[in-house]
Amino acid sequence: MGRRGQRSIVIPFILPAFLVYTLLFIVPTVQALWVSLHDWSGFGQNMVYIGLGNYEEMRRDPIFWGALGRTLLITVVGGVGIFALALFFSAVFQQKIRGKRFFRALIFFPIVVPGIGVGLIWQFIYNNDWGPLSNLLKLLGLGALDKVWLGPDNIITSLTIAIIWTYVGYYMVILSAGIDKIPVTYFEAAKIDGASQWQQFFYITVPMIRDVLVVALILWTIGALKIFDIIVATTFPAPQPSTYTLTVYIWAQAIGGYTPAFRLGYGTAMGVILLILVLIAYGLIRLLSNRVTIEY
Amino acid sequence: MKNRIATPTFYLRLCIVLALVLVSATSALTGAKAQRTKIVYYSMFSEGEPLQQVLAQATEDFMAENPDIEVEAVWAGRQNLTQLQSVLAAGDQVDIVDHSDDRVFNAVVVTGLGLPLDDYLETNAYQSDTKWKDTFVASALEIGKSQLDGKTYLIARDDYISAYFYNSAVLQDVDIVPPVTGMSWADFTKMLQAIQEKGIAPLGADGNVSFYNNWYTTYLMLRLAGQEAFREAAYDKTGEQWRAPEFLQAANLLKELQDAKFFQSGFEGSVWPAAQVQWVNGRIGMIFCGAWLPAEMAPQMPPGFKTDMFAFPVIEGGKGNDLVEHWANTYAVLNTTQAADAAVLYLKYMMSPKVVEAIVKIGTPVPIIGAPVPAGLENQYKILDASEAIPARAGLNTEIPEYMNNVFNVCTDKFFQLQNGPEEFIECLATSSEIYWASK
Repeated sequence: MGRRGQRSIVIPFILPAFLVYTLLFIVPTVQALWVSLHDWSGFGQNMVYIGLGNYEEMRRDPIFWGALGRTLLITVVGGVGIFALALFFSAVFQQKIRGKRFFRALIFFPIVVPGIGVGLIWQFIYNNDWGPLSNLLKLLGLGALDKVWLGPDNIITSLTIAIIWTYVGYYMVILSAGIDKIPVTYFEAAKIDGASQWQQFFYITVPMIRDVLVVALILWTIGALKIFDIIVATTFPAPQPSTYTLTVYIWAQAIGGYTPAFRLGYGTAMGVILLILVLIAYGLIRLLSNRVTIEY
Repeated sequence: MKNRIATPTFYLRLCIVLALVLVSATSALTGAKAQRTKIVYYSMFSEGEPLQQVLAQATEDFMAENPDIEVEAVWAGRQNLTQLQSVLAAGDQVDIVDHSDDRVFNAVVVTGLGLPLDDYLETNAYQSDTKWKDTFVASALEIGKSQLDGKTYLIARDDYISAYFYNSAVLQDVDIVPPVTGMSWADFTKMLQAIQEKGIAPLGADGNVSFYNNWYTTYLMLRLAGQEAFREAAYDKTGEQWRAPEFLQAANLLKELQDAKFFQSGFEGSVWPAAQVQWVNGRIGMIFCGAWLPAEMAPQMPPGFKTDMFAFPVIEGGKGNDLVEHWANTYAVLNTTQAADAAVLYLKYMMSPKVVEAIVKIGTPVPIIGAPVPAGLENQYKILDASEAIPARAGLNTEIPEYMNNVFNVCTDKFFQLQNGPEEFIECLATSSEIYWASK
């Protein structure tokens, strides 16, 4: 069958998915681009075309840059924390440990809880008056280490810890699934050659799950750039600008916040920037991961 | 047995009968529809909330009394105005919305979607000889008026002032009865000291709520500089007007409260409603808040807990010592409605004595003349009578919400949460205002 014949067979199979994708992603994206060029409250049809005015305003908006900085901080620091712990637990659970399933389930549990629930749990944990963290420190005689956990100096660190706790189990399961597929013979051969547990982990496990790791990294990056519910729930009812991530700021400007400004046009422009960020992050991760080739 | 075969005449008769049945059924349906006017109310309440239950029952009662009107109440919750954006975009029917006056104003009035209600206010209230406008307390009608064209678009349902709410037992313990209005700053701080000596935090604050933090900076500035100067400073494109000495003096007074450790420990990171819980548990003397506080905390109040309220203290030489914030949750009718009369009749019913009494029973104050006042809020209307009522944050929340969120609240939070001092606070206001206005 010629190439043209192959094409004619492929097109009918691709077409439904392409139409759905166009309808649910391409069209809204183009619409968002169009809305981002307008000053619009979101009510009625009274859209005022301002060209790149929203993007120009964004360039000079300190709250936007603060929100972007916090988003990237959570993505990078949270990502390092999540993947370090997820790899650690995956390696630990490779061993024969009693109660392995229970501990795996325990670490996985937070991802099952809705983000709002997680936020409220951490709001309780961090409460200085009746929260378990402050009380535990006092009980252990470590009251000097107690801090105003959700105060302006500590809130981003506190939120990042909450985010790591929430997602580490999810990525542990993904990485563990990759590890389980590595042939045991590789580890046996390494043992015979005298490799330590750590050497086996770094020279066999990590390279062998590279593809899984890349997918997990992409998933995390996309998720982290869009993180919203945990932040809003932990700081409920009114997240302060000092805790805004990009999505929270979009929400606050477009529709939400305690004193809503109803600037859907500006909020959409920030949404477009977020989309570009996600695409850049995806591209970067793919680019870096494609450079490495492994041969056995 | 005779074999009966259907003839063409039989089929013809059958068709005629079916057609007649169909026509009569359709006309009955359309007739019923034509007689019944439908209005759609997008509510700020979610199902199960105390006020939702009152409003739902009242809506049922209204339809029973007015069988020609059908009210579809959509219990959309606090994001009802967000939903309004998409509902309007889809071309679906919405006739009435409600929310706090600043939100409804920005969503409905500024966008040109509001129906002026002045003519309706001149007509009689529900089943009454009194004009509808004469049933409201005067300041409530002001809340509904637009500064843009002077017309009334909003109907205040439940109204609030901001004031200090104290635990009566704590003040009894120090043998102080604060005056409802006119307490001097010196007496106020003396009272706080007396409470502090009893081992109780005199003031409570949930520092994570900017909207609450900025009460302190706003009120102190309004007291000292007056409303006009405060508003002018916010609109000053250079930001320089924030450098007036009254504003720094206001900041210094807040610093006094912070330095004396009158706020509970860790207030800067306290997440709502932690401070309020401490307040009802007797560990905090008083909280500055909106008049919804007693109803909001009622489920957590221990038996015998009593609260009362007094106005923000006055400051000697101040230009705005008689100002008090007064705002409301309000209804608005959309000008796209096909049934304005029915919508207004529904609102008149919802503000009639029977419904208003049910609203008050759950602890919510209403701005209707002669309506009962919920326990603990008796002083709200005494304060209003003795003061000049102004909108929340002197109207700036309504007029320039983005400025308040991104400039005033940001600077206030840093100062209130102990990251900045008074001078840095003023500097922040001046420079951030200039940057903000330059971007507009």
